[in-house]
Amino acid sequence: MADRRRINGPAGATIPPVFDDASTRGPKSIKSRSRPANATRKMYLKTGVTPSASGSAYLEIETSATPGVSGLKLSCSVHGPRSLPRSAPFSPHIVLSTHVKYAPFATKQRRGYLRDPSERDLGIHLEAALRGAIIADRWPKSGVDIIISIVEGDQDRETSQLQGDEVWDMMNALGGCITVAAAALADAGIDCVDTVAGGVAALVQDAGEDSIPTVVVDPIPSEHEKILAACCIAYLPTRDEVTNLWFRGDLPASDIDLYTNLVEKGIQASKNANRVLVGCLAETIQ
Amino acid sequence: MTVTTTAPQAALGVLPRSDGSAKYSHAGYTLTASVNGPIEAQRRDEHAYEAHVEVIVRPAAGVGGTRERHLESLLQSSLAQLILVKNFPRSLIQIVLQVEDSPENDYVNTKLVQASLNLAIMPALVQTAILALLSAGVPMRATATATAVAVVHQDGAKKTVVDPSPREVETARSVHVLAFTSHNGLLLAESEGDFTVGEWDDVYETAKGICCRAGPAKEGTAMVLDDEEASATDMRQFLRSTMESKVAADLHWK
Amino acid sequence: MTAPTIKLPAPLFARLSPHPFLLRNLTATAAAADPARPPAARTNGRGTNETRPLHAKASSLSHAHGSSLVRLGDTTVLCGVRAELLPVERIPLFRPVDRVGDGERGGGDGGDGGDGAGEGGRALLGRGELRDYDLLVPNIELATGSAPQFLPGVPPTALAQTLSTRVYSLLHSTGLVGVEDLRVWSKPGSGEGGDTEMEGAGEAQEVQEGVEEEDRVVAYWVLYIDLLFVSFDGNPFDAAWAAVVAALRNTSLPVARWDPEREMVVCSRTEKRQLNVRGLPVACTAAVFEEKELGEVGTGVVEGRHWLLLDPDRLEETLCREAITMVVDCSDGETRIKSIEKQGGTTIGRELIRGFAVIAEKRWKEVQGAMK
Repeated sequence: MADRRRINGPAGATIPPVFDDASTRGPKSIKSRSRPANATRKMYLKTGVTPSASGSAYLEIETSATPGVSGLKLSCSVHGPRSLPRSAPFSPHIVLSTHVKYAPFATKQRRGYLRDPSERDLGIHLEAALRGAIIADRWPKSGVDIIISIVEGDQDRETSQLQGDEVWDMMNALGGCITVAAAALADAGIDCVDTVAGGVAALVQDAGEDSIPTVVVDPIPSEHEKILAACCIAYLPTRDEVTNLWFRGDLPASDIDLYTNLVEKGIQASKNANRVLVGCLAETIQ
Repeated sequence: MTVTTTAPQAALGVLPRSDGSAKYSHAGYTLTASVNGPIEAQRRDEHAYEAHVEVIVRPAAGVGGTRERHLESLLQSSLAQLILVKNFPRSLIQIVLQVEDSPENDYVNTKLVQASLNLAIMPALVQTAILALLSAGVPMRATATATAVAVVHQDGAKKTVVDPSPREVETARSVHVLAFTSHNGLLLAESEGDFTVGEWDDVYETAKGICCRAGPAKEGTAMVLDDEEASATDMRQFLRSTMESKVAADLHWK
Repeated sequence: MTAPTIKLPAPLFARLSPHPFLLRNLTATAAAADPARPPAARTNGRGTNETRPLHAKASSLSHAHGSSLVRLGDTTVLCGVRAELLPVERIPLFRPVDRVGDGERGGGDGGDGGDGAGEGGRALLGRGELRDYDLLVPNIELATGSAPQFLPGVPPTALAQTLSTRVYSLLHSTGLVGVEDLRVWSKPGSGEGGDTEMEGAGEAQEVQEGVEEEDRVVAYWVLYIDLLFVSFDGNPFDAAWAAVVAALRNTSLPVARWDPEREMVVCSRTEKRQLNVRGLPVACTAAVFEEKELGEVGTGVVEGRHWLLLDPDRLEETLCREAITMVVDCSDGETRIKSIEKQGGTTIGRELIRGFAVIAEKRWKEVQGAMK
């Protein structure tokens, strides 16, 4: 059933272009990380991109050194606090609603117009991360909408389709979403206990199957041979609290410390993001 | 100057269960409109000071798409200007337009769902809606008439075609739809294609000649703008005679 | 004894009663008649005939084949053009195109301009294919939190649908993109791309060449043009259209060829061809603000004053019913009008539309400067 509220393309399905691999780049197989294991990429954060919204922010994470690999670009706007619709039941505290949507041109594969399960998933994780930071009982009977458009995903344009990287891309996207939403919430003047920021750490296996896995912060899937596990952490630095932890992948059961180590690194990445966030907000105040 | 030989035809009150209705056919288009109102408005459409005018356009086949939404928004903004909306605060006037038949283009295989704007249907939509509103007795400050004009380049000469056929619309340099109120105000002007201000002026004159002929056209007194245009349809007069015959038929028992 | 006066700060006044607020702003300066000040100023500080500067930035995205970011005051639109292939087998009722005719027409195009009739005919034929096979798919997304009135997660509103349709119609009626750029032939093109095929094609191509009897169109590129409003502050159509034009001018498609062995179209990673965009149509919108709130119109008599507000912002749009959009293209030296859309009232008559063409021409020059 075609969507009659949009202009639909041709009746027959279109296929994304297939590239001939005969003339592919030579050094494609060599995947290497361009940064030290515990360094995050540079990010650019700016508030007030949508003047008509209560608060808004734009986040851009630096493009990696490999050509064709785009950085994450996110735009977030916050509307509210505003009164809940008349149909909504009574709520003693603020009701957060989060929407995360990829732009149709954000990733290698064209995204649909309707939110898919992974986008809904991102929204739920984001909500959990922010709920712990907002002082919710200051606004009874009101709601706030947090809308994030992922303008460009963190993906390698050159790699062929379907490498199973999507799940790891989602981790990075969530980390960015949390940071940008926190900035937009602060811009909207919604009271929070602290500025929350997202950070990602991963356990990667860079040199073949039998090598010893290492823990890195802010991983880019295209820069690593294999990602075994990753976690995305939303962390409040002054309170030393974690509001959301999303863990995915396999950890060898033999090493208990590995998990703690991974979380530790995630917090470190989150602290880095927080520094940028605080710097950006301080700049806005001046 | 080509003038379609078919004169417009209309019937009022064709749907017995609605407040007002009209069936109209001209230039290959046949439409039926029903008007209900003023009726209770839904809470979200309710306006404290005026009536909400809702226009729904249903295509001949399939369900409406983005194109229908666009036509609706054009009609809505125009009709809301004509209806005395302030007389009915917190209410709704609903106009449903069903396209029954549209002219076929023999040259291409027409698709069921098309997103592109079909300007040629606009005059029929306006006319049918106005007739149905009159039939429903909705108070209006003016009536309106509309016409479509195409500028066709043929053998190096420019030609103005009134009520163009789909084929003519396709080959035309520009297509224009103009609607005038009964006070000769320009209510709606939609043009697309490639033209200059001068060409638009000519089109305006032609359209005005069709839509706003001065005074009722009596024998000999009809204002003839041009020899060619004399044979063109006078939309305002048509609207009037349709209403007159309906009233005459309704009051026949007296 | 004086009556107690309530003093409200300007933003609050604007919010409570926007119509008198804008009216006072427009009339105050006019009454003062100070020659040093501009004749009338709107609440946003602009004159009635003053537009917001347009900023266009192309190629801001890496996953799209063409992209642009257009800023018109506080209205920001992001446009991404994404091309996908549509094999002809998937087109119902496909009518083959013959190359000879196309070559002739292509030659006429190369002759830069050509005579009016020939160009018109060619544009027309292309238009048919573009339209019949739905090769251009523009869509506008407003529900991105761009303004408080657009709720997220809902299907496109009537406004978004109307805008999409207007962009779609204008794309076709202006013939901005030619269908020849979107065709993929079974044999490499004679002129452009001929040598590029040689390296990638290999021997298989040459063997096939003898067997294959004729050249045919094997696929079309479909351009998905998606517009995302980052921020919405009135005049969405002008901004959206400028973004579409800027993005298409920035679009380059990979060189595609038919692989007879795999029976599919393959694209070159390195070779790209710029999309030809004909002309530079620019949209110019104005809204009519009437002195009388929700005034009586259509009676033929002009009651009260009215102002034509060029490039209206969000507040002004809510207060105006009548609006006009004119799309002009002056790239051939002469002003050609591509579209007029006037609705919602009777204030704008023939004279105003004539005068508006001059305003649109001025706007065209501004936008042309910004697009460079």
